[in-house]
Amino acid sequence: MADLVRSVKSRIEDLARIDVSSVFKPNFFRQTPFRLTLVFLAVYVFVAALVFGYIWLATASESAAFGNATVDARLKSLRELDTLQGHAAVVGRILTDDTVEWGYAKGAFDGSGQLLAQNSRTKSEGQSLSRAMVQAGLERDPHVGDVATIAVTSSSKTGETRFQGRVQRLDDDFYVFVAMDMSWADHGFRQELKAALGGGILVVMLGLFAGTLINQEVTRSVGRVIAVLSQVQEGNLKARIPVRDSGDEIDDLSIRINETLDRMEKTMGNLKYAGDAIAHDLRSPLSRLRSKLEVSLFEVEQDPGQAHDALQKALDETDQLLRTFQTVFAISRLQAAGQAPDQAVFPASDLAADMAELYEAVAADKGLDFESEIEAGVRAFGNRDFIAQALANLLDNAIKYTPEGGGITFRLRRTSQREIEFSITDTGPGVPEKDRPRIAERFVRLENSRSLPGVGLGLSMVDAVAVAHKGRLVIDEGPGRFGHQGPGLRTALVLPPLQG
Amino acid sequence: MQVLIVEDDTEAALNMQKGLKEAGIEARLAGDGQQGLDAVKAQRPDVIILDRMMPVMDGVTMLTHMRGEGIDVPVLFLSALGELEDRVSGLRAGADDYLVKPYALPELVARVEALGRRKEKDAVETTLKVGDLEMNLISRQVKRQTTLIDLQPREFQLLEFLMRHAGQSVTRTMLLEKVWAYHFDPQTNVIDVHISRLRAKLDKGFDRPMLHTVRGEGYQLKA
Repeated sequence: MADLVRSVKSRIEDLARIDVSSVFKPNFFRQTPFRLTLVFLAVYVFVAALVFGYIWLATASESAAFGNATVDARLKSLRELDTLQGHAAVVGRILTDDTVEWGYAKGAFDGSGQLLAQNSRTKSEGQSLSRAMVQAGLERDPHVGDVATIAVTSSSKTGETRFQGRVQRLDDDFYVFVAMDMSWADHGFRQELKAALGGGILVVMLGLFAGTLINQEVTRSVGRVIAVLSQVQEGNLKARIPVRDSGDEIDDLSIRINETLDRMEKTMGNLKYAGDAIAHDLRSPLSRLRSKLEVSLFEVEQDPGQAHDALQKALDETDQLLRTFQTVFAISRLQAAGQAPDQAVFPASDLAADMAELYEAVAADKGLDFESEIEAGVRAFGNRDFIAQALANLLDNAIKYTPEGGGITFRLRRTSQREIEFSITDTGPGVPEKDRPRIAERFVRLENSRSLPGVGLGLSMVDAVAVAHKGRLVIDEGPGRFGHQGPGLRTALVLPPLQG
Repeated sequence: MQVLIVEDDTEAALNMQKGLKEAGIEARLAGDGQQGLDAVKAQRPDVIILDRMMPVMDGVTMLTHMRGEGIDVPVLFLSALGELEDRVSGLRAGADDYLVKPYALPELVARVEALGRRKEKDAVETTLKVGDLEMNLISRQVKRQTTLIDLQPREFQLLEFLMRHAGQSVTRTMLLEKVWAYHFDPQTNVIDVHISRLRAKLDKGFDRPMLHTVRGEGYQLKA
């Protein structure tokens, strides 16, 4: 009970909070819930009119049938009286009929249309009723028989009354008629119509009111969504729509918008991170370039003959910096986009063969044994150039770190899960297990690699390429130690199976 | 060879012009796509260097217009660093080659020379000849003087490219792109190793070497 009171109270407070000016702003009638209410009410009115039309038709025919039956019963009794006792008895009955049945007008007239008798009801309706009866009797269609049916509206001092009657020819010079006052039927229908109209107006009023309330409610819910979206538009990516857990479609919409905003915020965060990272990553190579230029300047001052060499060195250093920048940029773009651009199905076996051919020469040049095992007919989905770049980085690392006399094995195979695995195994010094998780981070170089050229972006690039293809970079144990070789390292770029 | 540089960055354009002049190539400048289009119609250059980002009319639009009007002058498309989509859109619009900014001048010159040369040689050839080196494209036989040189398929392609651009410098990037058809940074001296293998087969036993290394640029095959 207390709950109910509280909910009613809060509802009333809600109503009190309705800002009338906002409800009745010019476009109020164009708001969806209110428009729906109007449509609903229009349909309601139309259906109600149809129903009443039908009721009217049905009751009209019913009451007409009833009128005919009672009128016929009274005509029959007059006809029987005439047969038994003659015209005078009929005239007498009509004249004395009066008070018994006020709802029936009765009368008799002769062949010339001269009224012979009428009861008080007929008289009270004035001449219009009797005249219509006489006319109907005399002009009746002889083929139909001795009876004529007529519906007539009489006008008298008391107003208009609808009658339904029949005229009976008893002989050429004697006619009787009976007509029933049908106003009871009309009156009943009118009562019903009046009640229905009252009810209908009530329904329409309540409907409009409810429509306004619903409209208010929906406008408020949608308003919350719009408010949050305008906040986002103004740059507040943290704004979220409150969800009421009512499970309705507004909640559904809110949840979806919130999820979209989450993703947007994350992407923006990634981009910002990428930008910050680029700035951060380029700080040290730039300072290095600057100090080298400083030293060169100093050297040139000492010996102007070195100017060309100094400039050449500076140029090489700038090229190196640009390459670094390009790689950092590519990694950031891949990470921010979440997937590699321009992906297509390509023959992975051909790519592997090309890479093997390219790098076999480099390995041989360094005195390394290079072997490749490439499964034929393997196809993959991805950006061929990015995959090539990743494999180039892995092969280059293997060749760079493996001492002379060592060996490198390059494989392409499909795993039992149909994944596409490019792997490179070398007999170099390998990477201690504790260092493996971080060697794919940007600019991470291990102690014993500092003496070799490179900036520590190679594996970061491979990792970014792998992730951008929904694949992964695997760093594993090598073949083990033998002689002065090993324990070695096995790196693999694994791509998801080709769909279909 | 007459080159048209369509580039809104005047300093960059002047640098290009200087670099090309150094290599004996004359170049004129246009500041945007619209000027570029007018200049192409008026001067009929042999090669166009076209920047992607320009006011009034950008590079892709100009290129599309040009190709739409049936002007098939070779185009070297310049795109900004890291804009991979630019490269793709440029090639789709009908560019013959592309270069990412910032580039090394020798790279630009080498590519312009290659594009200019391509236009001169439209005819279908069955044999290539550079000095005493002869390549039969049908039988795939290579002879220097009377010695038959045995080449691997890729070495054959590499030599064919060098012979078609004999007398010009070709860069390592160009070779990786045109001979191996890959666009990536090989990290190491991959191309050098393949060149030295080819050189060993080509120049061994002959007094005069044909395959030269051009410092800071790349390689050159000379008669």
